[in-house]
Amino acid sequence: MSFEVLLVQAVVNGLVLGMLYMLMAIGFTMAFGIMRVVNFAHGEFYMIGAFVAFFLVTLWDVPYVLAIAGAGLATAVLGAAVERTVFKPFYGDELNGMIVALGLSVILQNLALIAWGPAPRSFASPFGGVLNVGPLVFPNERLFALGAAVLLVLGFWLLMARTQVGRAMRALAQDKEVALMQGIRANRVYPLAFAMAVGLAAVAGALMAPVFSVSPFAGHTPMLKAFVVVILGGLGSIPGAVVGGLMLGLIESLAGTLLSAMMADILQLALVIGLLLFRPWGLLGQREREG
Amino acid sequence: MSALLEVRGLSRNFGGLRAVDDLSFDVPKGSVVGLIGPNGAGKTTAFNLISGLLRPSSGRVTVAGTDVTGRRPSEIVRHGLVRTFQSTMIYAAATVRENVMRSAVAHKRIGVVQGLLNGPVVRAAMDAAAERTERILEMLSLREQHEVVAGMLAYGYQRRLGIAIALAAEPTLLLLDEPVAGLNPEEGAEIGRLVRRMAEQWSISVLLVEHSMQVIMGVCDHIVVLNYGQKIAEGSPSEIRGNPRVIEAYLGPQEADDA
Amino acid sequence: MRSLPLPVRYAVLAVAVALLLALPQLLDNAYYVHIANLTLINVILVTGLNVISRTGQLSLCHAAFAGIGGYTSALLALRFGVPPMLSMFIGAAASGLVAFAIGAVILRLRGVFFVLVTFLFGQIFTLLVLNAETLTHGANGLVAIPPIRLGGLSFASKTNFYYFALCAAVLVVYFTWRLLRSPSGRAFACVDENLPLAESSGVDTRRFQILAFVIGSAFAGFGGAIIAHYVRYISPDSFTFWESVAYIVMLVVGGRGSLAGGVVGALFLTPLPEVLRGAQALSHVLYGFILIAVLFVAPLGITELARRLRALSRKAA
Repeated sequence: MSFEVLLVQAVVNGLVLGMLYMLMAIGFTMAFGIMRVVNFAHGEFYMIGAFVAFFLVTLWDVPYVLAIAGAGLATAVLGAAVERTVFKPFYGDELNGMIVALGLSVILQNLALIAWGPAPRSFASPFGGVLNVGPLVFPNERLFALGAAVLLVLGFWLLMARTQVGRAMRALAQDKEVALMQGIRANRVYPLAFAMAVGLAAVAGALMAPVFSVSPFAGHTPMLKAFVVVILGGLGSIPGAVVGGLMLGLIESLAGTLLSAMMADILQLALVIGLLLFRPWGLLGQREREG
Repeated sequence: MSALLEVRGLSRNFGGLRAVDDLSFDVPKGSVVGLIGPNGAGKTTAFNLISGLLRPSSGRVTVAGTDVTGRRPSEIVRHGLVRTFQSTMIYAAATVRENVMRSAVAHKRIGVVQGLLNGPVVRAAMDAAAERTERILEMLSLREQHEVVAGMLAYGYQRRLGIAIALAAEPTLLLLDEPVAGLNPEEGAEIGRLVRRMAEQWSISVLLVEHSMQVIMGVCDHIVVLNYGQKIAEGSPSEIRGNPRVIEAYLGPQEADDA
Repeated sequence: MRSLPLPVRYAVLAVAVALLLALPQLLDNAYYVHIANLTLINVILVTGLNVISRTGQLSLCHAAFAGIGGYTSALLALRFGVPPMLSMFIGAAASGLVAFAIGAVILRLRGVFFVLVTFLFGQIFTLLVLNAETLTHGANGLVAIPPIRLGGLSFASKTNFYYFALCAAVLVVYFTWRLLRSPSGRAFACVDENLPLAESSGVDTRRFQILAFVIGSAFAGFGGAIIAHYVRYISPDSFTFWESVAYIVMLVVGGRGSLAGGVVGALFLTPLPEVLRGAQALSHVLYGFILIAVLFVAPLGITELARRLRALSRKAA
């Protein structure tokens, strides 16, 4: 394969990865930006979404696309319940909120282990086969994931920018006191925001299930990537999550293809370290000065 | 003889907004200087710049001859400049005595290893800190509440505690940020007397931000007036009272002159 | 304890000391002594985490610092024949140094950022150890790590090691007790309870945040080194994120507000996974639930709960 072909394949793969990371990061940064929640269990919701999709497809013959929607919805509902019971009591107490999230992560992962065992499972995406564009080869399942993710992010952007709910969320993220004074009902918006955030993670899990397979440990790496993206793009910044996610996906794919998998990992972490040293609030985040 | 606090050309920009613009003034030793101006004039920003909470965009702050511009607050405290806060800043979970003790002990700057070994030097320093704490509690009429958990105190007592914490750090220059806000006239007058005593008896110079004209006029030797981040006037209380520019700055929907 | 008369207190203390010293004989079972040893090691590690938490920080890479200490000590002993009695302390120092390097950079960030970065650092550590195969043997880990010796005495056997671990744990706890009662300990409380006030009243908050982080992480390194020379085998799997979470659970459940919390937490939660050996996932779920329950009911842990109960009973009396 010629170098140009390799490069283009790497770029497209990078975009697919980037979309996945972006979806994870948007949800994670959203929970922080709006509710100041550091959701250490975010990866577990990815995993739950993957499992729900897996069971819907393999046990109940639900069409894949519907299964993705189902996974997203089911997880969103779970998320809303979790937010009201587990996270709400710790608003204003960031430290203990983080520890609670850690506990939740441990519970969810190990419950999945008990219920479904550690062995990875997978199922075939209905979008089998490849797309040939000249010398380039693109697996259809990845193209589908890419397309679905793009639609999702667009829909998300529309919701945040054009709807009342989205405006309410942005208002709360910007200045909670002012937003409350304007009559925004935090008790309605928060569970919705959290549901959306983990719903995105779940959809990412469902989209990547045919590609990466499904196990109780599946959420760990996406969670790690979300952290990295959020540090790159700035904690609380959704544009940052978008840009950071794509950047990370491209860097990982290009480095992995042109150098080695290990170099890809090291490069990403070196990037994070470098950023933390010189620009810790991320590329697009808010600068905060310690007193 | 140079003043205890010298502020020269102090400025701070926020984006396009000049919150403090080329501010210069002195606080001579043993005096009480007031910093007044309508809301948003930049008084608190000036305080934050001088005490190290904010970095100046330009200008210089000198305390007792040492340039402390842009240094961290804890460093500036070491040079004798201590401030209080508008919103009450106390250790809410600790007792009144412990609140003051923490500041007094911190000021002794006992090293980590020294503190671990707890030799006679350390014990003497701790005794001195405890003594100082008792004296300050006495001075600020907080002795009776010394076992009370600070978060339980009435508002007036909490403000006094804030001053006590500042005093425990052995300031030569005290920056008081609206010390009588929310207090009744009696409590306010008490604080006013305390400020005079600090300057006249305890060699502590005071820079005071206040909205209460009564306190300002009654307590200050010298007044600096800000508006829109700039100094528009300075002088003795009687000079400021009659100054047309000052009156003009205060007229309007923001400030009611209650002198 | 404080309510009892002095001679009674001394008697209780004497009995406790006697029990501790005679424990291996009383247990009379190598496996139980092993659990006691693991508990003592965890006391060291959790006490280190306690020190860090005194400035209001949360370290999600505590196990990684244990790993730095463990690998440093093991490699020095294996490759350069450094006696473990010495290499342990070098391992602890290595952890402290790395903590200083990281802390100096990231402690200026907000609390949340700091926690995220500690998580990432933990991942970096695992990655580095896995990939530096010529040095660390990667995923295979290091085997045949020499045991600790002092003169002619070897601390390889479980019973002998118990006495070593007991001394080490007592020393660590005593040092921490002195530290927290010293002016530095007071400064920690200032930084934890009201950082802007501390800074503005002359406490160098950066210095004390770094100090707590360095000391706590050095304790972790010490604990990791001890593990290495006791179990005599370490791998990247010995020092993962989940170990860090386990230490956090022990600290939170035992109690963050007091020094005894670390001890109590280690005591309660170390035997648990060993007892539930067959159902590891279940024990982890239990961990998670206990953790969340504690945060809801008694955020400062069992020791706080005990204090509250004592205060209640005193009021009732």
